[in-house]
Amino acid sequence: MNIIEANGIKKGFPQPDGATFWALKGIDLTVPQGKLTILRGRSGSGKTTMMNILGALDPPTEGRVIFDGNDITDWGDQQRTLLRRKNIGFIFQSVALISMMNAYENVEYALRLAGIRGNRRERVDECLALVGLTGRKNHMPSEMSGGEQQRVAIARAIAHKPKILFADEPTAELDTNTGLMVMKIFKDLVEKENITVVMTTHDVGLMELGDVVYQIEAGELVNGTDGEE
Amino acid sequence: MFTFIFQKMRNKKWMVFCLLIGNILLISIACCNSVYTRSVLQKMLISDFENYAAENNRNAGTVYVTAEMLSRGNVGVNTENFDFSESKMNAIEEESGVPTAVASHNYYVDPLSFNYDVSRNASRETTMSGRIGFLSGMTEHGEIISGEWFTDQIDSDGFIPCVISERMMVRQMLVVGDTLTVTNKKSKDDGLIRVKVVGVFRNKSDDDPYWVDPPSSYTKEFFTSESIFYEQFINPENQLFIVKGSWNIVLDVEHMDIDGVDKLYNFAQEQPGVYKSLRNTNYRDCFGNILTVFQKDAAKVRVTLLVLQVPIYILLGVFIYMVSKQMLEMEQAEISIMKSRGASRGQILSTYFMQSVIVSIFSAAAGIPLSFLICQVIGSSNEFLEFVSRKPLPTRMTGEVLLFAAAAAIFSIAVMVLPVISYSKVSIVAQKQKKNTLGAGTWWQKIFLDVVIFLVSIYGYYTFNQQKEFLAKKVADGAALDPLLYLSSSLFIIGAGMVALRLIPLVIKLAYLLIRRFCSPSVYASFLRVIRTKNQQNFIIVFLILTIAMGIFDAKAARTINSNEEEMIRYSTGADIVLQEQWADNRFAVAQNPDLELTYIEPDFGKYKSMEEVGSIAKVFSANDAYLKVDTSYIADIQLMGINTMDFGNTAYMTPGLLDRHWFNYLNEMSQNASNVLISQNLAETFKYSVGDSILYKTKSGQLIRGFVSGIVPYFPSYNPSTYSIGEDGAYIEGNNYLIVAHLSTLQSANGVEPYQVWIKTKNDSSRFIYDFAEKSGTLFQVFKDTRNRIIALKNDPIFQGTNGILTVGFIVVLILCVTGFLIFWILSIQSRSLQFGILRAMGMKMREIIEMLINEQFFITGSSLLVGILVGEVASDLFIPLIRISYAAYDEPLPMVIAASTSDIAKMFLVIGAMILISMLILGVIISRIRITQALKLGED
Repeated sequence: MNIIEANGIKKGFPQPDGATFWALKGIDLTVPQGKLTILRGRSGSGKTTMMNILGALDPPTEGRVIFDGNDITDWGDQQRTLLRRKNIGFIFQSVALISMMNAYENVEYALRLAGIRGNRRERVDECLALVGLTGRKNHMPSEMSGGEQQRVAIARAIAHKPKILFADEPTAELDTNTGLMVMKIFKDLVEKENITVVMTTHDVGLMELGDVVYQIEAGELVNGTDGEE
Repeated sequence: MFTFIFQKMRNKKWMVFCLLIGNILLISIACCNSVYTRSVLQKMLISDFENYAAENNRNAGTVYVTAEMLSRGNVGVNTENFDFSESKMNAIEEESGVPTAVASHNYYVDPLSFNYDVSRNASRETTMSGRIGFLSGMTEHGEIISGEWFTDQIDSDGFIPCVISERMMVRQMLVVGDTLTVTNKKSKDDGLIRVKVVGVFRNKSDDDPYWVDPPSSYTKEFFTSESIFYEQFINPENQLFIVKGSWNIVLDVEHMDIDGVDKLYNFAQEQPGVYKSLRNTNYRDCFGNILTVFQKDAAKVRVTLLVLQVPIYILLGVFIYMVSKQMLEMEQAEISIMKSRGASRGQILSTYFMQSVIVSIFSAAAGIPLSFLICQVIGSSNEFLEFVSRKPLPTRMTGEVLLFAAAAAIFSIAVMVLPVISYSKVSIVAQKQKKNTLGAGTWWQKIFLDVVIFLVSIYGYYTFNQQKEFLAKKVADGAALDPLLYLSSSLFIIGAGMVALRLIPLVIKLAYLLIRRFCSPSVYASFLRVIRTKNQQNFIIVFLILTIAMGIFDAKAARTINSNEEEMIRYSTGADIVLQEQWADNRFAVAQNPDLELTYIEPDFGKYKSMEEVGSIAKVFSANDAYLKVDTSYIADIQLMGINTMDFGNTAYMTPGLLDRHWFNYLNEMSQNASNVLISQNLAETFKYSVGDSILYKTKSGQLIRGFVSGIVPYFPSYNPSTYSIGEDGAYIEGNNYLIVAHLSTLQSANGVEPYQVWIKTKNDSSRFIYDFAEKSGTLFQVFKDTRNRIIALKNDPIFQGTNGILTVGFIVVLILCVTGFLIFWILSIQSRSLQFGILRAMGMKMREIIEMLINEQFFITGSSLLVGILVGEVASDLFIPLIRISYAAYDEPLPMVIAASTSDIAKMFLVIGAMILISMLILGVIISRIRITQALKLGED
C-alpha cells in the first residue's frame, strides 16, 4: 500500500531573466507505507525539491500528489499546514532545532503544536529514550553535538506520531558513525513504530539501507529501483 | 579598501540607514545649538538695544565724551585733552568694532553773560547767561524754520552770526535779527563779543540719531560756524576762554553682529579708565550697562540651551552605539575571517574607522542644512509641540557651526569605533564559542553599572532637593539651569531604565511559570524567546524605555514650566487688565495748608464700563501700607484690598485648586456683612485669629475700622504671601506679607474715595482696545498691567522659547529614534529568524500562529517597555521637574508649583508610537509573507 503517489511532478522556478528553471521535469513515484524510501541524487539534482513537494511544504507546478488517499495538490496553505501538523514529521539537514528551547522542550513543542494536551511528559521521555538522549533532555541545542541535535530533531519529528517522516540529508553533516546510528534509528522507527520514512541522501553507501530507492538526476528519475529486488 | 567598505555598507543597508539617521540627527542637533544660540542671542541683543532706545529716547549706541581746555595761545595751554578725545573718537570704530552711525562734535565757550541790545518789551529780562559754540554737521541734520543758516564770516558790523533752537527762541524771547553783547569777556582783539541771531533751527526728522540731545534741549546755545569759532575762540593771543568740547558718537549697535559683542563689551569696560587719567574729561556710553546685563543673560541662555540638549545627545549616543554594536554582531564572522586571513587588528580598526568617517561625512552633509531648519522650528515654537509663525530667526553659517559639527562627528566616530576594539580581538574559534552562550547578560549588568547610575541619580536628587533654597537664590542672582541637576534627571531615567531591564525578565518569567502548561504554542514560543534571548532584546527594551520616559519627561517639563509661569502671571496680575489712572488731588494745597483734607477727583469709571470689549469690571482698592492694630501696637505694611465682592468675583482670576473650596464661597460669606473681611492665612496664624474674630485695621492715613473675619485664605488674586528683600549680604530675605480684604464701600465710607484700580476681564482674547483708548484720549495710567502682554513677553523670552523649542525638538528626535530603533530591531530579529520560522512552519505552525507569536513578543517587549517607560517618566517628572522649574521661576513667585501634564501630549506620543507599531507590523508582515518555508530552510543549509 502506498501512502503517497506522485504523478508527473514538475517544479519550475522563475529566473531573474524571465525564463523558468525546471528543477523537476516530470517525476512519477510512490512511497510505500511502512517502508524506508530513499531519494538519492547529487546536490542540485532536485531531490530536496521533490521531498518538499511530497511533504506538503511546497505545491508542484504541474502534476498531482495523492497523500493517504487524498489529492493534496490544490490544497491551500492552511490545509497543508494542518496536514503537516498531524501526519508529517520533518528532519532537516542542518541543525533545525528551535534554539531557545532545550531538548525536552523541542520535542514537547511538537506535541503542543499538534494540539496534544494532557500528559505530554511521558511521550517526550519515550521519544528521547528512543533516540538515546534521556540523559540530555535539559540541554540547550548549543550545548549538544551535531549528532545529538539531529537525534533530538528525530525525536521531535516523531513525537506526535506522524504517519510519515521526511528527512532531508539527515546524515550529511554527521560523521560516518553518527550517521549510521541515525540510520539505525530510522530503521527501528520503520520496523518498531511502523512509521513510513522518506529521506534524501547523496551518500551511495546508505542506499542499501533503503527499502525503496529512487535515483534523481537533473530533475528526472533514473533507474527507479526497488531495494528488495 | 573603499570598495570593500562600500560593499559592506550596501550589504547592511538597513543598519547603515539607521546609523545615518542617528548621525544626521546628532550633527544637526549639535549644529543647531550653535546656530540657534547665536541667532537667539543676536535677537536678544538687538531687542535690548531697541528697548533701551524706546525707554530712554536715546540710541543705545551713544558715546558721549566731554573735555575742557583753557584756550589761550600765549600761555601755550595744553590741548592734550582735546587732542586725545578727538583721536579716540576718530579711532572708535576700530576700537569698538562697531561702525558709527553718526559722529558730531560740539565746542563752546562757557560761561558767558549776554546783554540784549534791544529791549522789546518791559517784562523781558535784559541779560541772559549762555554759550557760544558750534555743532558739527548741524546744517545737514537741522533745518531753518526762520531766517537762515550762519555764514562763515563775521558780518561787517562785527556780529557773530548765530542760529538758535526753536525752544530757545520761545524761552529767551529772541527773534531773528536780535543782537546781544557778551558782558563778561572781551573778544580776542579786546573788543566786544557780539552775536546776532540769524536763524532758528529744528531737527529735520524726529528719529535722526544725530540729535543725541534734541534741539529742544539747547536753550542757551548760540551756534555759529566751526571756522568762526576757531578763529574767534581757540588760542587767542590775549584772552583766556574756557572751551568745553563734547563728542557725540552714535555707534550703530542696532545693526551690530553678535560676534562683535565681546569686543564692544571690553571697549565699554576699558573706556572710563582710559579717560580717568585726563583731567576734566569724561566718558559716558549707553551700551556699557546693557552689555553687562546682556553678557550675564547670554551666559545663562548658552548654558540652559546646552544643558537641555544633553539628554538628546545621550540618547543619540546610545542609539548609535547600539546600532553599530548590532552591526558588528552581524559582521562578527567577517571580522573573524579577516583575522584568520592575516588582517591585523589595526587593519580591522581602520576599516571600521573609515566606514564611520564615511557615515559621518554623509551625515554632516545632510545634518548641517537640517540644523538650520530645526532652528526655525525651535524659533517658531510657542509652547510644547505648538508653533506659531514668527519672524524667521537670523540664522547664519559660522565657523562655530562647523566646529560643533566636527565635535559631534568625532563623538559619533568614537562611539562607532570603540566597540570594534573588543570585537577585533575575537578570533573565529572564540566567536563560535561565544555564539553558543545565550543570554549571559550585558557587560553593564555584570559590573552593575545600571545600579550605580541609578544610585548616583538618586543621590543627585537628594542633594539638590536639600539645596532647593540655595538653588533658588542662585537663579535669582542670574545663574542658569544647573547642568548637574538636569543631568541627574537624565541619569535617573537611564539608570531606572537599565535597572528595569533586570526586572522585566523576572516578571515575564513569573508569568511564564504560571501559565506555561496551558498557553497556546505561539504564546509559549514567545515566552521562551523573550526569556532566553535577552541580549538582543536589551537593545530595544532599554531604548524604548529611554525614549518614552524622556518623551514624557520633556513634555511634562515643558508644560509645567509654561503653565506655571503663565498661571503665575495670571494670578499675580489678578485680572486680564489692571489699570489705574493718574488721579488729580489737592496735595499741593494740603502741603501749604495742613488743615485741609486730602481729597481726590475720581476719574470717570463709567467710560471703562461702557466699553464694548469689557466683559466685567471691578473697582479694587489696593494698598501695601495699611496697619493692623493688635492690642496696643500697630503692625505696619499690611496689604489691604477693598473690593466689591460681586464685581470682584466676576472679574478677577483665581488659580483653581489653591483654596479648599471655590473662592466664590469666601466672597459670598464676606458679602453677608459690610464689616466682614477676609484675612490671609499667615496673618491668622501669626496673630491667632479665627473666623468670627474682630480685627482693627486702617489705611495709612485713614481711621481705624473694625472688621469681622469671615474667612481665612492662603491665596487671593494678586496676593503674594511672602515678601522678599535683599539683606546686607545680598541674599534674599523672605518675610510674611499679610493681607486684609475688606469691602470697598466700607473703606470709602470711612476714608472717602481714594484712588482705586480698575480690574477688567475682557470679553475677547484681546486687550488692544485699551491701548487704542489710551492713545486716543491721551490717558496716562499710573498702574497698567496687561496679562496677555506679559504672557506674550514670556513666550518671546529666549530662555522660554529655547526651552520649549529644544524640548519639542528633543521629543521629535525621541519619536524618530523610537521608530527607527523599533523597526531595525524587528527587521533584524525577523531576518535572523527566518530559519526558525521555516522550522516552525514545517512542523505545522500556521502563518497566523507565527504572526500571533510575533504579536505576543511585541506585547511582552514593547508592552513592558512602554509600561516601564511611562512609569520611569512619571517618577522622573515628579522628582525632578520641581527642581528644574526653579531655574525658570522668578524668586518671588507666590504659587506652589503644580506639575502640569497635557493629556494631549501623552496622547500625541502614543498616537505616534501606535502608528509606529502599526507601520512596523505592516512592514514586518510584508517581510514575513515573503519568507517561503522552503527558502527559509534552504537558508539554514548554508
